[in-house]
Amino acid sequence: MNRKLLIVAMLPPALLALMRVVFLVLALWDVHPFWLWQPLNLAEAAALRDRGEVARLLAEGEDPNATYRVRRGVVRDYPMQMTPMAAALAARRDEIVQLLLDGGARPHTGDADGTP
Amino acid sequence: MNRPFLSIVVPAYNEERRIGSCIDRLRQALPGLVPSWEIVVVDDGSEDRTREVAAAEAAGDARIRLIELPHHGKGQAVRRGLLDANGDWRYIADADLATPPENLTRFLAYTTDPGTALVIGSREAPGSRRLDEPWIRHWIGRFFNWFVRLLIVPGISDTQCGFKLFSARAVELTCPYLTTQGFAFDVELLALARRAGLSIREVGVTWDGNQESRVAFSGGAAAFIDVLRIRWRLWRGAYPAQPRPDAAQPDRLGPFSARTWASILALTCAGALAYDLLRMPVQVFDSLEEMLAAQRSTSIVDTFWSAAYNAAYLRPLRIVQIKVIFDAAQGHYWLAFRGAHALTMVACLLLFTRALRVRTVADLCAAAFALTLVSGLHTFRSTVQEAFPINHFLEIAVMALVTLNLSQARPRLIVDAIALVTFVVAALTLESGLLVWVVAVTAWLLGMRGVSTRGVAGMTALLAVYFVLRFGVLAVGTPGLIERSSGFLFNVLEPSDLERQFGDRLVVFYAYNVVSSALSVLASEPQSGVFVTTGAWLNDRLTPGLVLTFLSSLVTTALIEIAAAILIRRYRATDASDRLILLFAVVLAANATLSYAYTKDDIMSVSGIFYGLAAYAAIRLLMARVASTQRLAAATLTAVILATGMAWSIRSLGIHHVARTYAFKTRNDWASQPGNWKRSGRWPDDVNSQRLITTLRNDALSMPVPNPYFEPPWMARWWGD
Repeated sequence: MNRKLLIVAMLPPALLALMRVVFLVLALWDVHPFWLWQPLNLAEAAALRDRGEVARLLAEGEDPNATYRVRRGVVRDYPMQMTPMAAALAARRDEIVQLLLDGGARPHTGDADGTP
Repeated sequence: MNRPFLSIVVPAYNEERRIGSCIDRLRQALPGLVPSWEIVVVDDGSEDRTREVAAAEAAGDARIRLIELPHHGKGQAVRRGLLDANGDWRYIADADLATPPENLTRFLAYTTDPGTALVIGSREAPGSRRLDEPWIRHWIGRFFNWFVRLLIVPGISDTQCGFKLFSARAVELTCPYLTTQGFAFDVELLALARRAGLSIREVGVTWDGNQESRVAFSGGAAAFIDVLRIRWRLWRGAYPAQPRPDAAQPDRLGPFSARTWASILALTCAGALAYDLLRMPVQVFDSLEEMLAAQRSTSIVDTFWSAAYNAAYLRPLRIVQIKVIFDAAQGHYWLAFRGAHALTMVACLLLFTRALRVRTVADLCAAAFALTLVSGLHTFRSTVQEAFPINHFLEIAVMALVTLNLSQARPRLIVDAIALVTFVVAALTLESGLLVWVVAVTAWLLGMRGVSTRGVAGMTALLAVYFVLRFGVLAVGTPGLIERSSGFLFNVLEPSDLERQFGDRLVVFYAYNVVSSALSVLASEPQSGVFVTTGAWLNDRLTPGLVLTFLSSLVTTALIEIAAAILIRRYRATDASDRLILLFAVVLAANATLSYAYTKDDIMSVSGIFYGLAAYAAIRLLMARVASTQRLAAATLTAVILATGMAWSIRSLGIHHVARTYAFKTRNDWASQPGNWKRSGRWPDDVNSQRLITTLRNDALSMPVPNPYFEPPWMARWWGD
């Protein structure tokens, strides 16, 4: 077959390989487009059902009873101030509630949307 | 000096009486037949004045050359003459010109056909005439032809007529591999031409049998022996792989060779996957129990024997490997196990690429497609997302590829030894390890004889020992119906459901598992026994990802089937790379059979990788079939490969999404499980186990894993489960 046609046929895998090379090179500068990690506070992690992040923040000493700013779109279409426990209840995640209780959080006594 | 259109190669041994008149007749006939010509006389160590006569003719005419060789036989002379000739076309003519030069017009008629590489004179083809041939010579010749057609080149009515026309390319593809020096060299040349996929035309010629023959009885007898020798060489794969006719394409693309580019592509893919693996925590389920057992075990030998006595599985080396890595980890468990996983992944893709034997740009195109397919196939996902704590399915795939590479190597004792060790390790790691034997035997049958007959026999004997050990000595059974859940039609059935539905008709369930496992590789539907795409379509929940998955697999399998049909029709003209399609078919059948007990795509991961090999072979074979002059066919094939390659590229990108999703899930598991165990009383009492769990948990929690919430919704539509 004509060489040009062969090169055309190879384009998708070649572009994929090029993309991967770029991402691997960026990783050397600690930029990870394939693994974009966004920092979360304790309430956001609870609302987003991120048990791993909840556990990590608790282990680092974050206060499970404090109020945190939850960015727009996580619980409601507007930013909110809420405790991690309220956020876990809003996400309906028993495991996160248990994690928070294990981490010293007080049981929540307000509404599920975070209003005390 | 410009290349002449036609070279006449005249092998001569003790032809002093005929060589002069031969050259004269050719010199008179050729100007009327071809625009430019040369005559190359090859003296095969004549004891008379053949050299002097030929040299005298050559001295007076620059178009005539003499090559002098020590006496080794006609085959050697022909080989040297054809390789040294300069013509675009090269004609072998016996010095007796038993077929007069005027017959050349019948040969030359095919020089305008781009599909013709070799035209042979035949005394049996339509239009042929034999003149004054002694009857005994005729019948010996017919018997010899029957013998040759039976063993070497079926369908050729006369291999021994000494007049043959080769294209220059055909000479390059056959003569370097010619080993026969006697009269059977014609047979070997034709066998080599068939191997190289060259088309052979027969033309009827006039042949004067009244000429004094050079074929003595001893030479004729030796020809029969040479035929047997050629057959044996073909059978044991003694001829090196030959480039395809279209390998006139340069094998360099820019600064690197096609082979180097293929390795770069493999390393890129492997590097990206290893990068993902090194950002994933070790699993909790399936892994922790094994690691705790490894910690408790006192020695590797104890580990081996305690794992050998299992009710349903014989996998002692699987547990031993976990123990070895655990002990070597020295507390750095995540690094050791994930590092081993990443290295295994790199080895898998490099071995895969090596097995493709990329030589040309066309091979590279097929290899790029195949690599993308392998990393995009859903059965490959399990090699990334699962690890128990070693991904043994990936390991088995590596060992199967090692065996394939060994089969493609030169046969040596060390190759056999490595193959046997590989089989033992594979068979005692997972039941899927028996596929190593399937690969070795099938490769041997297909002509890949790197693992010799002795090696294959030894491996078969070890297989027998395995069965005796498993079912006799150790009395290890097989997985039962209630072992685990399994997909059936549109649902995953729990063991109790399976027992209820299939308790008294196990054959139906097992047959379903085998067929659905094979279909999972061929069509990506069903997956782990569940008709995901069909179910989504019936419930109006079809996503772009499901459609893409199904169609890309369907088209690729169709390409493989078309190539397989061509392969079966032209089997003798195919090379080892083409036969990877047949190897895949056998591995698929065996792998599907091994997964009879329950459906799980992980088990089919080895077949998935060999599916990639088959796709490579199919695309390569189809590209070779399409001549550059068939523009519509070439454009169509290019469009199909381009579109399907794009689909597989999208699927391949999805493996990174799978890795991230699984890393998130695993990290979450680590966050919750230790607390759950403490509350349910399953927290271990010993300090070492507690320390191990805590270390693994801390490793997992410290890893920055993206939250899927922040991924755009289209990712789940294209790549989600």
